[in-house]
Amino acid sequence: MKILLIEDSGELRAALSRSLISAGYIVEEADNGEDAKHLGATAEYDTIILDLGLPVIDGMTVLTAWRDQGVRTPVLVLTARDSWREKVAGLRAGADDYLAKPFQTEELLARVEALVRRSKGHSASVVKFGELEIDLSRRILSRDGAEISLTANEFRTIAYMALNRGRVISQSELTSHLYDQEFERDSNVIEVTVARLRKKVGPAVIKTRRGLGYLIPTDD
Amino acid sequence: MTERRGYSLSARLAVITSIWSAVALLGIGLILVDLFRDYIEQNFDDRISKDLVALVRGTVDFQRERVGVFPRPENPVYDEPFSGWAWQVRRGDTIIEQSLSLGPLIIGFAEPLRIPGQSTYPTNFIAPGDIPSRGITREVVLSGSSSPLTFAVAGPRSDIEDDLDYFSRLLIYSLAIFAGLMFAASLMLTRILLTPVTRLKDAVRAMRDGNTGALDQRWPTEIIPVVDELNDLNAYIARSLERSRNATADLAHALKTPLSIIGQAAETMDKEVSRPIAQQVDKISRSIDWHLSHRRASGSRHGRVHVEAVVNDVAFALSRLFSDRKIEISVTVEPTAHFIGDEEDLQEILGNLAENACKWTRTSVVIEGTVLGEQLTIRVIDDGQGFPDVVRKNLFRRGVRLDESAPGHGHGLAIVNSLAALYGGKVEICDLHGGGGCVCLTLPGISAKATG
Repeated sequence: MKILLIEDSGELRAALSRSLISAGYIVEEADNGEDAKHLGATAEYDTIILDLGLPVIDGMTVLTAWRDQGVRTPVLVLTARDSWREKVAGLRAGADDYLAKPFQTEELLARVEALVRRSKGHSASVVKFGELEIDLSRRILSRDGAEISLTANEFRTIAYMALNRGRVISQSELTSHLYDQEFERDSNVIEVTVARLRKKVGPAVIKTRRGLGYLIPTDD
Repeated sequence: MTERRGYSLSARLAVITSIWSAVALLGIGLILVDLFRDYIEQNFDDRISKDLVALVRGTVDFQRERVGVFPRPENPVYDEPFSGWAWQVRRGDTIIEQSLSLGPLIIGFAEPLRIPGQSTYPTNFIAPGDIPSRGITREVVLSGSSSPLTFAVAGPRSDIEDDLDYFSRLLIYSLAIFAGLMFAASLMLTRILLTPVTRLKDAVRAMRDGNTGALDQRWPTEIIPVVDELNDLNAYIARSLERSRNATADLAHALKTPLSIIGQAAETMDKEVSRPIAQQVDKISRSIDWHLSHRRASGSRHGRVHVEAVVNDVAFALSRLFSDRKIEISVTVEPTAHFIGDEEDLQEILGNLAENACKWTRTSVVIEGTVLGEQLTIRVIDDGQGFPDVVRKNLFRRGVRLDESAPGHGHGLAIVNSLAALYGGKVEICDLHGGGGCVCLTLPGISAKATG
């Protein structure tokens, strides 16, 4: 999953970025409102973490602009100004969640995971498909209670497919959500990863729609 | 607090008007009495002058100094003994004729009516019998006589004084009634003139209570400069409060971002090191929130806040924040209910109360609001397990948390309690039949149409 992290404090941004990457997210960063506004409107992210106190353009203006442009990416507002007036204003402007500084990394990760999950229509952090079960918060894939060992890249790929179950996902979508901007888009990493996943979870779990992409079908 | 050195403008005006009216009316009274005295004396003098002329005309020298008065003055007052009215004709000291009021003319016993000055003008004197009188005397040489006769006519001054007393009494009564009417008129005038001041007081109070933003310009010309100054003062206070609040928010931002960095850095360390750091970061953050909320509340502007709108905002925010749990949040607030205070404080109070209810509820949270008299009552009800007896007394104290495993600092409800107390209200746990939790909040309020 790809996260856009917008925070003007370099130290905090670096610390949060490390925590998010450790949790398996791809992180892109911005340190001012102008860049954030551009990135949020032009690139695809699974969640945006937005600090409100930004230089150049403040976070609330950026959020309002995104929503006006039709950007529907879940936004977690991160702010030191946590009065209820500001919470209400932020949520009315289109924020999906609100986290006041200072916070614990665990809480931030739980909120981000919940936002990603909710945006794909899943209320629980455990998603079942067939005999498989993926625990997004614990980052575990299991079959009948037995954990299947996956690399971080493999987990990201199958987690994204599981969250978007029933929908054909193109290679370019997988690329944009699972890899950073420096990723070589013509490489066959996606195909290789899917092939390895099929070996681990079984060939019937991930279907290929020729010329369109990949699909984990729904149970019905 | 400075001592109130109040004095009543009405009393001042009443006293000044009374003193001025009393002096003016006294002066007018004295002048009128003096003029009336002149008028009465003039009438009196005309009468005795005419009687003197009549007396001279009726006096005849018959023969060799034998004189008679035919006819005698007819006015009966001259015949009444000791009436004070008298006339006399004499030659030198020899009295020839006199009125009956002076008694029978017995040579050697009759007393001459001596009017001092021998003036042709009436003069005051004391007549025989010690009667204060006013009379006129004239010496006339009749035709055929060789020596002049002295004619004297006098009347009692008591006639003049009686008329003057009667007039003075009438004048005093009249002027007293006039003075009373003047005083009443001055009081009424004062009241009318001070009506805009009373209205201004009410308008300033309404502005302080937030019922109006600024004072309008429908005032007497003399009051408009005061109204302008009050509007400027109100705007200045609003700007100062806004600056103060922004500074408060900036301070929070300036402190909490570094705290976040410290917290993040601590998480990378061993738990033995990171735990006390995290605890201290949490403690500092709580202190900041506590003191900033109090600082903001103590500088709050009182206004009329539409309660339903604030509750709807809070319900919307909570429905987003707790969307995972699909809690049903219902609002039943009287549309006319208004809170008298600061909107941000009400948001803080209701937000914390309702957020707490959302944490502990199973399926639903109900927020009810009613106004009775000048008291706004809000009940936040959840269908959770309710409040254990052990936490009931301490729930609204700083740092008390129902469940340490739940997110939060445990100071939201303490801030609610403190803010409610600042407004003279209170927050308490209410008993609810059938289980669940219920927190009752009372604040100053009013039932009025929303102003938008």
